[in-house]
Order: sequence, then structure tokens, then C-alpha cells
Amino acid sequence: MRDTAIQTWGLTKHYGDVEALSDLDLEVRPGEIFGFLGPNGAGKTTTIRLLFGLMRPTRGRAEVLGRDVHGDGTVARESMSFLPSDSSLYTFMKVGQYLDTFGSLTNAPRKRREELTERLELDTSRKIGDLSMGNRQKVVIVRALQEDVPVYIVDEPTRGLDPLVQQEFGKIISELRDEGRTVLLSTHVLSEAEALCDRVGILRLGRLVQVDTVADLSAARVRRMTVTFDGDAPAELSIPSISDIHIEDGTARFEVSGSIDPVIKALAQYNVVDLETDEVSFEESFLQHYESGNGA
Amino acid sequence: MNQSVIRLTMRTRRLATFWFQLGILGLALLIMGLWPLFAENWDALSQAMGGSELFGGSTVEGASPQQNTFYSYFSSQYTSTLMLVLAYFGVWFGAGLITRDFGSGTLDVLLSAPISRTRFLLARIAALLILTILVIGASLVGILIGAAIWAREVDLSAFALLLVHVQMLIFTLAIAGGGLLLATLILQPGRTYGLAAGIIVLMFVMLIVADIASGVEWLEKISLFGYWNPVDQLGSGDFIWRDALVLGGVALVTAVASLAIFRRRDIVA
Repeated sequence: MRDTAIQTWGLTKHYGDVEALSDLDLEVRPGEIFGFLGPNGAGKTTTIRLLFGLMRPTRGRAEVLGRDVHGDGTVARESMSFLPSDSSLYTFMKVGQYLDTFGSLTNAPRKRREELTERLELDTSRKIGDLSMGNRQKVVIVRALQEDVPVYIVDEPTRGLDPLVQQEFGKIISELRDEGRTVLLSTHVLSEAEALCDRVGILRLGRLVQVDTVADLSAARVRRMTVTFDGDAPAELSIPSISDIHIEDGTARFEVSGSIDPVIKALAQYNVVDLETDEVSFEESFLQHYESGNGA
Repeated sequence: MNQSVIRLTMRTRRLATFWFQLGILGLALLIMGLWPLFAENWDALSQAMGGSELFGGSTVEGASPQQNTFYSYFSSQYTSTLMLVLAYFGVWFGAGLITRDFGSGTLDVLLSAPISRTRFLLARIAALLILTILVIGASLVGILIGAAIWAREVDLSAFALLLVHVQMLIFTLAIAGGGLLLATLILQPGRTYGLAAGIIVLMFVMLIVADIASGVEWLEKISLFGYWNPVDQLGSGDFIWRDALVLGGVALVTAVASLAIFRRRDIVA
């Protein structure tokens, strides 16, 4: 078995004077879900487009299962399936026609398609143009995952999906991993990466700033918490791992790095009437973390 | 070439192609159906217009007066209209051959399949050829049916009519090739259609200017419309190779250039 499913060496892409991707050295192992994390414009989609030969690198190279994606692109793409972030639909077609059409390009097995449409509750007799955004995204997902290949590259796959379908998609992706297939999942949603991925690579301004396990990712994660107390809030909260504390009347607001377990335990001594947590944006959370030198 | 891509391309254009076919068939039948009315009143109409080249239509040296009357009618009422319809079809199909998929995002998915870009574009060009033949075939069928019903007294050769339509096919492919070349360079559908349509309108204006102004006849030679002479073939029964070679050369060169550009160009989201 190969050590790497996807590997890049110094992969770089310039658009004129703009450096969209810079010296990317990446290794994705076979049979893992690798999260490709980063804010919009970080270079995630550029990397994926380079892997599929949609663009030529300014320098560097990339291989999928040992095949150079530019020198031997047609053969390399036999092993890959692409779920793009943008809509890629013929809206005048019925769902079944669309899946048949694209399935015929890659000889996708019909049985697999039927399983996926059933699991995602997708009606193949409906016209794509009449579908909601969420159902259109299901069509895009089935089109990509109906292909029987060892490597799936999915770009922002759960956009527009309701939570139950997101959950089902997560199960499908995990099953692909359990079957020994490799998934490169590009996302800017931390919770999605945390729930699905084995390892994550964090990309910023075209550079890979860190490759972590999901445990490391969780440890670095920042949440914003709002606690409402019965009566006035305590004047001081001595809880480890919290910062940016604002206390006003009966409410305390602060940020928590890593696990929230110590916070919950510390709050147990008070009479808490409400507790809210919000995930801070990718930019706020990880970039501050890595820029501060904790990670990189 | 890839049969799945050919089938997909034909499927995505079949409705529009059907309407083009139906429109052209209807136009051919209408023009041929009106021929007896024009023929009966030809002398009066000709006198009123002051010459035998009624409506500016073409005549052919050595043809009988009756044939020339028909050629003049046919070229002024049918082929000049069809020239513009086919130019529009060529721009629409050629420029849209990859830009439509670029605009809808489906080009990314199509090119992520294990098919080389050369095979992909060759399959698209093959689909363009098939659908153009079907559209122009509708004209041939309409004219043949119309000639059998309404123009039996005119000595029309089915072979000469076929040659006329072969020239129409090459003309349409030359325009479509130009549209495809622009598409590979630009990719964005709106800009490609706009520029292709602008160039076609400019070429048409050049033809008109070359026809009415003295000293600028050369403009006709740099306009694709200057090589559209179907009635000359109808009259002589011979293929006009010079015009066909120019139009065919344009179609071939633009197709090869499109393939060369498309093979290497970045498909930027």
C-alpha cells in the first residue's frame, strides 16, 4: 500500500502578481479524511483545481496515487472524484438524467447512485431547476460520490444542507474512509472538520501554516460563551483557559480556548440560568492562535 | 473523442436545435410555396422594380430566363435570409460550446473526468458538426419538398441543391470556429457572445459597404459573408472550390487553434 494518496512538492500558483498558493508541501495518507481548513481566499480551491489539472502550477508538482496530475493527468483523474464548491448543474435536466449523464462519463455504478439517492432522500424524477438550494447540493454530492474511486476531493460540501442531511453526509464520508478510501475535505467550518477529519491542514494566504490531528485542532479551538446568572454575576471568575472577560449585571461574556469542560465544572458552583456558546470565526480563532506562535 | 461527451452536448442543445430546424424548414417551405405567385407576376414586378435582377437577387450566366428568374427570387428571398440565420446559429453554438459550461460551473466537473482536454473538445466539435448538419439538412429537405410541389417547371438539380447546402455547412462551421476560438480565449459567456456577435455584425457591414461603395471592394474578401455564394453553385451545378476552401480553411484553422489554446489554458473559477 502506498504511503501517500495525495502529495505535493512546492506547489505554487500565481495569478499575475498575486500569489494564490505558495510552496505547498502536502501529504495526505491513504484511508484518511484530511481536512483542508482556511478562510476564504486562503488557497484551498486553487489547490484543488491544481490537483484536477484545471490549472497549471507556476512551479512545483503534485501526484495522486503516484500519478503526476499534470504529466499524467488523465490517468490520475481515473482515481479521483471532484465535488466543487460552486453549483455545477444543468438546471433544465431531471435529477436522474443529470446523474446518468455524468455517471456515463466515468462509468459510475448505478447501485451506488441508488443507495446515495435513497440515503439523502433525493427524488430523481424532479427537475433540478425546481429544487431548493439544499436539494441541489444533494444532487452535486450524489454526482461526486456515485463514482467508485479511491480518492474523493470535496470543496465546501455541506453548504446549504440542513443539519440532518449534514449528519448523513458525514456518515457517508466516514464510511468511505472505513472502506480505505481517501477524502480531502476543504472547509472553513471548524466543527465540520472536527467531527469528520483525522488530520487537518491549515492554509492561510496561500501558505500551509500547520498540519494537526483533530485533537490538536480541538485544543486550539476558541469559543465565545455568555453565562447568565441568577442575580448578579460574581465580580471575578477564576476559571482557567478563559480570556477577554466582560461582566455586566447578571451576565458574563468571555472566550474559552480548548475544552469547555473546566469552565462547566467551575460554573457549577454558581446558580446559572442560561449558557450560550458561539464558535468564533476561523479568522479570529485559528489565525490568532497560529500567529501568536502557539501552533506554528 | 468521447461518445458520452458527444451525447451530452447534443442533449443539452437538442431543443434549441429542433427549433432552428423547424424554423428553417418552415422558411424553406414558405419561400418555395410563394414561388408560383411571384413567377406569375414576375414581369409586372420586374418592370415595377426596373430590371431583371428583382430585389437584387443573383442571376447566373448561361441559365435560361426561367431559371434566372428563380435564382433571383431564391437568392433574394431565401439564401440571404438563411445566411443571417446560420451566422447566428454559428455564433450561438460555437461561442457557447465551452462558455455555457464555464458559466454554469459544469465545465469543472466535465474536465475533472478522466478525459483529456483534446478529446473533450474534439467531442464537442463533433457534436457541433452533427447538429449543424441536422439544421442545414432541414433546409435541404424543405427546398426539395417545395421544389417538387411548387417549382416543378424550374429545372432544379438535386445535386446542385446539395452543393448549395454543403457550402452553407462550411460557412456555418467557419463562423462557429471563430466563436469557439473566442470562447477558448475568453471563457466568460457574456463577453464571448458579445464579441463574436460584434465581429459578425462588422463583417456584414463590410459586405454591404463593399457592395455599395467604390474602391473598397476588397472589404468583401476579408468578410466571411463575401464567400457565401450558394446560388452560383445552383446555376452552374459545380462546387465553387475557392470559396469553400477559404471558409473550410477558416473553420479548420480556428478549430486547431482552439484545441491548442484549450489544452493549455487555466480554467479559473
